[in-house]
Amino acid sequence: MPVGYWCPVLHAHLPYVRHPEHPEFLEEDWFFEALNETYVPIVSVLDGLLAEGVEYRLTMTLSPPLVSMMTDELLLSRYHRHLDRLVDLAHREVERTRREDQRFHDVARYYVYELERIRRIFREQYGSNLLNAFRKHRDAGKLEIITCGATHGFLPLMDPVPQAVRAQVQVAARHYRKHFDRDPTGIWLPECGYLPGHETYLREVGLRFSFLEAHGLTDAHPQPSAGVHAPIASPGGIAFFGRDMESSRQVWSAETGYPGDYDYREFYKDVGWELPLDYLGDILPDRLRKNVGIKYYRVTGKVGLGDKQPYVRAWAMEKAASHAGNFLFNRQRQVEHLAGVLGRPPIVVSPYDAELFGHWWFEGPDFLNYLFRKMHFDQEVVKPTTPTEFLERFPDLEVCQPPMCTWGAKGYAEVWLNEGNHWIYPHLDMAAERMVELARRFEHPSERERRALNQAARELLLAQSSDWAFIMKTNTTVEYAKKRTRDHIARFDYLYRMLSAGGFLEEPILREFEDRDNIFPDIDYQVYR
Amino acid sequence: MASKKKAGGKPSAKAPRARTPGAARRKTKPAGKPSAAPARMAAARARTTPAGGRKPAPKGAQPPGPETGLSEEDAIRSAKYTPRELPPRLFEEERFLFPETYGVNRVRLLVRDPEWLFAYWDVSPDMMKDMRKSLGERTLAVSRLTLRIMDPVSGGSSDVLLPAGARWWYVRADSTPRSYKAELGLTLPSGEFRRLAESNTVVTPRVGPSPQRARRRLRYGPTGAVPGEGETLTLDDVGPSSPPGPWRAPSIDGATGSAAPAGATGGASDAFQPGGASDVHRR
Repeated sequence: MPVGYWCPVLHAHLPYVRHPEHPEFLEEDWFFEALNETYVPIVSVLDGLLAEGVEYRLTMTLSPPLVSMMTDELLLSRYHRHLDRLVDLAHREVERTRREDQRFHDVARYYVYELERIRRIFREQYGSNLLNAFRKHRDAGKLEIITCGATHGFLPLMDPVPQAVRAQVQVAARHYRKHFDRDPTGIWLPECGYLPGHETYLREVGLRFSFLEAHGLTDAHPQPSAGVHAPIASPGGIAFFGRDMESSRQVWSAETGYPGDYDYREFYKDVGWELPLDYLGDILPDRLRKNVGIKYYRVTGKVGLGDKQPYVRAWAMEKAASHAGNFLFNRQRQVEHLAGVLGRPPIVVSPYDAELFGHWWFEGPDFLNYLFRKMHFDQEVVKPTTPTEFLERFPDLEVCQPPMCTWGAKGYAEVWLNEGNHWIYPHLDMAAERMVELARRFEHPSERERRALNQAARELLLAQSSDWAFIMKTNTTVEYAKKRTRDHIARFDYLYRMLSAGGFLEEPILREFEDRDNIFPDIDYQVYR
Repeated sequence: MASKKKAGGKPSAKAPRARTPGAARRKTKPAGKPSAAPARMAAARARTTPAGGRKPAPKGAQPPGPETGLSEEDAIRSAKYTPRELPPRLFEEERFLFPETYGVNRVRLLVRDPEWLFAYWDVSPDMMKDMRKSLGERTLAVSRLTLRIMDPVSGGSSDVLLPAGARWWYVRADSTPRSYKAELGLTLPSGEFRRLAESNTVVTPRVGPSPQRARRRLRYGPTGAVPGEGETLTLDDVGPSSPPGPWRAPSIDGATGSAAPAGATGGASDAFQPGGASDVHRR
């Protein structure tokens, strides 16, 4: 028996971004970049571990919007186009660097190898459906797939309309059943946002465990004896695991975290901003510059972008292996210490955004690969586990009531409720209230009314994505986040008016909405009753 | 909580990067003069220039031909740039303006963090008409819309006399975990409070470790972490260590900020002028 356990959790989520009304749409790149740099590379790592008999354990959220995008024909066809263009650019880069800049030639060749490998795994190995890969690893007993809010709605701020919270959970659970052929047992609360009492909604769909930010456990009442290093049972009947800050910081911290190492790839210097537009060609379909994913520099140090040095893949791999060793060493010492204090095997829960691995920290998937291998082959002190496996082994839980908490800055709701985004809540709240009103009023709708009611539910859910409030706060693509909030509320408002006033629901408009926002094709608006 | 993932200088892995040159290229052009009217349907006159500025061909028509005045060679060359036919857009979201009011009386409370609540409200114009009738124009004119925050469990309340046009307010909460409820109403010149709407109840989170140690245990099973047969959970197991006393907070005149405790006030409407409460509100 090991001294303690490590429970890595990757939260994979992107907002539902799909714009059939435009032949190309910049924000759809978020999904394509994450496929290229995170989701496929992680699958590739897991495949290697499985093939070689490495006993890894991983827990992953696959949020409903992400699963929907992974199975959407339009987005997949656009991803193939994007990937083909990128592979083509990578080939041209091999020639260009051979002729013009030998410093980058090896890296250019690496990109051809890597992108062709990604394309082969995605297209040939998994038939353009990455869910096949995740199901395979789940069925092997190594990967635990958990669900999330239907559109990653921030549940604590939806509380005034309880049906809105319930719908986020119910729609997500149903979506999970459809794609993973079983009921979900665990959920990643969007933004780790917990409000006491929300267990009711989780238990209604059979959910049994979730995760909280560290103070969700350390500030719980009464005080749990193991801090965050053992799950607790809330009086609402859900087992909660707490985030371990020490292991989190080693990866997340801008100052001391691994991703800032000088040998790792620099995120902000991309050929999409540097090479001539004519040369870049159709990778910039509208000739507007953006990141394309081919980057030749390493972090180098605290220097300006102009002083960055060429990326050396072999050095970066050395560092990834070394950091994996360091991480493992720290976990060993941590669980030894904790086991001594607690008198029982502790669990160290390390949740991260999945996109941190690969997209932001390019070498992140390689780090995971080295880490799982070292953990399997080199030692017996700490072993990876999943929440279900751990709870089966250690089912006795202390009963404690966690306080409201999130994993956002300062630990509560300020990231999603501040002077830059609080204007959205009166409108989201009213739309939710009106959705409940519609669901109650229409017990026996006509076919077109039923479609309109279901579409109204989709528009509301999409407007509720916490991503929009988050983007407004972080000041990145604010105009897009505002536009999405407005567009969904506008469509909802139209449907509400037509339905509630007995107005004429125009078929072409309804079809336009259904085509545009096609998430959850099987949704039943009655979930809002 | 010094170092949270989204607090520091490092952007989230998935945080979209700021775009520079093309940042606003899809920013929708306002379609005509802004109007307070709800989104207008354009079904009868299917729009020919969608938000992205691309011109789709009318339904069923051929893609647009080359401009006149081109040489034959140029005309042939231009064929490769033939735009893809885009479906005409029927609904113009950009015409939608968020309503000033939803025409109902309601007030909501949200917990932002242990120290701040966020209240927002709506007042029905019909209700104001009724008030005008029953109170008279002059009395209504000098009455103040008021947010009354109270602790419905332990007692105590505080009034915020809202500045004209305010639609939301940040309310400073007590330092101990406590229940709060809001009432929206009118304070008449006589001091009488006429209630218009009542909010949901919220509870602020406790901060810091509980002085009590966990004693009770449950066994996790196929239905979750719930009491087994014959077992029950009692308030003693998880009840509050000591309920707070009545809430004591000064009332505030939001229009002047005069009675606002230092650093403890909220913001009002977007139109709120400096010198008021939001001016001293710093987070």
